Amino acid sequence: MLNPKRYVWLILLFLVGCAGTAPNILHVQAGPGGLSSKTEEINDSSLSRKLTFGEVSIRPLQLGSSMEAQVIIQNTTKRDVIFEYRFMWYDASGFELSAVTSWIPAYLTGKEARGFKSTAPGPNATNFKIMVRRPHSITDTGS
Amino acid sequence: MAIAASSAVAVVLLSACATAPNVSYGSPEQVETVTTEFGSTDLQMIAEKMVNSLLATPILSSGKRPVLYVHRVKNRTDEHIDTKSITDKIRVTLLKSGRVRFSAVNEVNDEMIKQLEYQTSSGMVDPNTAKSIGYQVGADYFLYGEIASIKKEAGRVEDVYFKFTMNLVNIETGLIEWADEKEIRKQAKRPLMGR
Repeated sequence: MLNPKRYVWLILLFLVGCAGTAPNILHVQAGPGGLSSKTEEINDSSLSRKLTFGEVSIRPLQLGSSMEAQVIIQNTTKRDVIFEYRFMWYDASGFELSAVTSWIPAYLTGKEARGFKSTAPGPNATNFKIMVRRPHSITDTGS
Repeated sequence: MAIAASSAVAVVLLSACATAPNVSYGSPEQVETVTTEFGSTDLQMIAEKMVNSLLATPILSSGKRPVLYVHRVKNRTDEHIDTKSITDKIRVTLLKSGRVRFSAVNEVNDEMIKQLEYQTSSGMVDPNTAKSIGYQVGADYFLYGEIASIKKEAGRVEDVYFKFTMNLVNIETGLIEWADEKEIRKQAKRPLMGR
């Protein structure tokens, strides 16, 4: 007969195994001079212990035309980390702007920090978010 | 009783064999890692890199909305890759940005000539609405590129490296005004058992 403590461990293991792939999100508001504000939304605390959002840089491309953003992502562990990221751009009214917004697989070696760049799809872009999540390939679905 | 039970088991087993495959819809933005062959995520990664890079060039961010056309992307890999779907994805995203215009001349020129001849010469079209010959907009630049791959296999490990290169050529000067590349590495390890 199983010890009740073992049941608790089994349930915990099951819950960990079923942990969702909700991404960690960095919401960034751009202002006339570049970065205006940024807010982190942590949905996966175990991933946030491995990968952290660092400096955000925003620069105009041409006078009033558009902007380019770069977000530093740092691997805080000594091991390689494979993850997925995705940029999404919005206008002042909150409408999503059309661009390539697929999940992109990425790789950071131990302690590596690298800038991930995206160009605003149009001059009306005012804010963006970058989402980071654990690998969640198409073969993981339906399980 | 025993016969009835075994018949029931047989029916259950047979019905399980006859079950249709489990089909489900997924997100087109999901990362696909079914095989190491060129797939939807590779296409999206290439398009993402090229679009971001092109939108950041002074040519596309000056507000002048230059006219482009896509020449072709040469497939130098040993697998069949629909390179037009890569350039279509890049073209659609660039067009949606509103910062560039694309000429359809190299793709549907025959159809346009036929339609212009019909409108101007057939006598079937109201002359007030018929479009005139000689007003097509000349392209300023064209895009061309190539995709290459290196594939290696050792034991159960398969490694594939893709390199996509794209260039933007100024038609008047013949100069390559922009170029970028995207490298992709994919690895697969076959299980000990199975295929």
